Amino acid sequence: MSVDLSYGGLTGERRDIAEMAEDYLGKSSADPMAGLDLGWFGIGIDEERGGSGGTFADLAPIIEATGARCAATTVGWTTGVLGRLLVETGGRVADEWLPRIADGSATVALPLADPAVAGRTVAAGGGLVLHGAPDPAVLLLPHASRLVLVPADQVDPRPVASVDGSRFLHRVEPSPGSLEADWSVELGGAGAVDRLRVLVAQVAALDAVGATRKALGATLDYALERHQFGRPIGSFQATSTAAPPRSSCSSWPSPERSGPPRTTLRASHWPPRWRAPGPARSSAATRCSCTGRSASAGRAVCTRI
Amino acid sequence: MNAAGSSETDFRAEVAAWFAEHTPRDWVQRTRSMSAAEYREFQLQWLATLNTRGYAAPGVERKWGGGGYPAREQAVVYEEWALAEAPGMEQFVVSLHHVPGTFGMAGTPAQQERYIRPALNGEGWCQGFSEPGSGSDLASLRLPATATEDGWEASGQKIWSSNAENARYCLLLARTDPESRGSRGITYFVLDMDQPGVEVRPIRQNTGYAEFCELFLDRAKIPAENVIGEVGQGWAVAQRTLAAERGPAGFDMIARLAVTCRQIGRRLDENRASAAERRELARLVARVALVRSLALDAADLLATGSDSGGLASLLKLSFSELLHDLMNFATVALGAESLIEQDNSNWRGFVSGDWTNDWLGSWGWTISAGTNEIQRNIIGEKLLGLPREPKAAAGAVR
Repeated sequence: MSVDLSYGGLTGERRDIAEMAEDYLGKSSADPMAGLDLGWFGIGIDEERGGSGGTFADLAPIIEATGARCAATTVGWTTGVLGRLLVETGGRVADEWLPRIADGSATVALPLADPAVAGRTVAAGGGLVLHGAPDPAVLLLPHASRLVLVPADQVDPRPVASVDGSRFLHRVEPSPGSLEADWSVELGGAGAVDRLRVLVAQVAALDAVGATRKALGATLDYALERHQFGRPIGSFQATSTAAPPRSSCSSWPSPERSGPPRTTLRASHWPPRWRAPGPARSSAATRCSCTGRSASAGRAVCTRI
Repeated sequence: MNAAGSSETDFRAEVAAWFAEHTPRDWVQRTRSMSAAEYREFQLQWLATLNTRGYAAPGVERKWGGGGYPAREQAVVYEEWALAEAPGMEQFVVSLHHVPGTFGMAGTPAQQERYIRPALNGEGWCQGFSEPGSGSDLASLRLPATATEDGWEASGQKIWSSNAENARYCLLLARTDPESRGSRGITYFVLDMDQPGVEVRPIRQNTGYAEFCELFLDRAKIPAENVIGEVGQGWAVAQRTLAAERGPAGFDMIARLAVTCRQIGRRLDENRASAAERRELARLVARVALVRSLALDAADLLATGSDSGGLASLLKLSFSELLHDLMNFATVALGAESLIEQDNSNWRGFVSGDWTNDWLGSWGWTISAGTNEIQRNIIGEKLLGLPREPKAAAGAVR
């Protein structure tokens, strides 16, 4: 008995991307820059800015695969959130930072807390726990009702140990003055905090879907393999009806990490009050191919077709 | 009224004052950096302090070193212990509860004399019940013990044996009648862990903590006098051991949930909690009060000698689901902060304040001491009078 839990709703090309990504991440799950050599960090960024083209929708199956593999890559936060915000903002800040995102020299850390609450915390001089790259070049910080991009070396984020070996945490206590200095750049105007909330939620949801799909598969395998009272535990109603809604976490061999060997939790902690401020936006169906190679970077790229 | 004639309120005040005076200062911070050996020594010292008042095992008779308190006063001791946020006795759970519970009811006078008091003073014990293929279906256990000239020899594997690494003795269930099936033909033994035929392998859990162990027995020797109860009647004795898990010690764990609610509330306050989060925490606090009320009912029933039966199952189910919901709430409400790993390898996974590890550990409580699925079956059949679940053919997959 087998159940196909993989990517049922994707078009053929994106299904291929997803399967390729999952296979690739299975071998590089501990690398925070995994996917750079495949052009993932440039997806959704136009080629004039060093990107791989395509749209952010092309990145979605890859982010889902990162969840399925408990991968440490920061592509979701760096390209899926910061890159997308910069593309939507445009102008000089986009010209400056998008090429660096695409070539992997600029990764990001951002707060997991509701950005509106985080903004109030920062404005009041409080500290935040950030999540993202292990050595971020920039921080994306809400400040009161605004969103600012701050070079990391200006606010000195301190790494803190994480229970989840695939997620990197920093603690930062930015002074309001440091967020208003010349080196801080405001992104996106008045609605930027709400937009950040939506983009982070989308990346988190994709990651969680991947992790949950994998966990459900592992649960089903175990329910068939484990016998008690002379039969598989999955044949008992109490188990068979409980398994699907409870398989919302995942735990399997971890990427490399310091400390004793253990399994890795794929953590998805999102405040329940997070809600999209308006109706969901539907993106136009886009087809892409990932078979090409960029002449400049010598790497595989995903291009819109 | 207790033996001294004071009211429960006075007794509670007396116990609370004792814990306020004797709880080691800054013990949470101090124990975080301790080695395993140092932490065990810390636990032994705390155990000795508790024993000066019989608080470590308040329900055990005084002649064996316990407190000899009636059920309601045991509940008070455990609650005040937890509310004082004093150290637990997680390395001595079997020594303090299972050992006196088992020998007190089924041991010979010589066994009671030999084992109960040393166990209360910190002699390590573990439990050898579950096997890789026998968990919920414990009666299917297969580890054989065969008769020799001067006793028995046991070979095979046990699993999920808490703190076996530090145990001097093991409460062992083995099949002594190879022709038997189910609960018949099982004998209950004291196994001396300090012998060549016993190997212990710790299992590192998803919290990073290695409380559980596997036991591998290779012709391990068991003297004839180490049989507890009658040969072949071990299943009935095992029920005494399992009942010891459901006693008033549960009040400690429930009160620690109340303390945890208080800690989460403080953190939420610092993080500017939303109205929805405050309401959810209030709902969880109310559930803690309900589970405590249920535990009082169960304790009163046990005190009258009644089998609390389905009520104990309801209590276990309610507690473990509440614990899990509370940890879910803490990790979601505290967000990334809950992912920060604390420097603490000696105790975590249950109300340690290391939120994500405690969340991981909370899953274990839905499995241990009878899975929640088994408890639902018992509740359905014993409390609600529903028909038994239909039996499917062995090996059937629907």
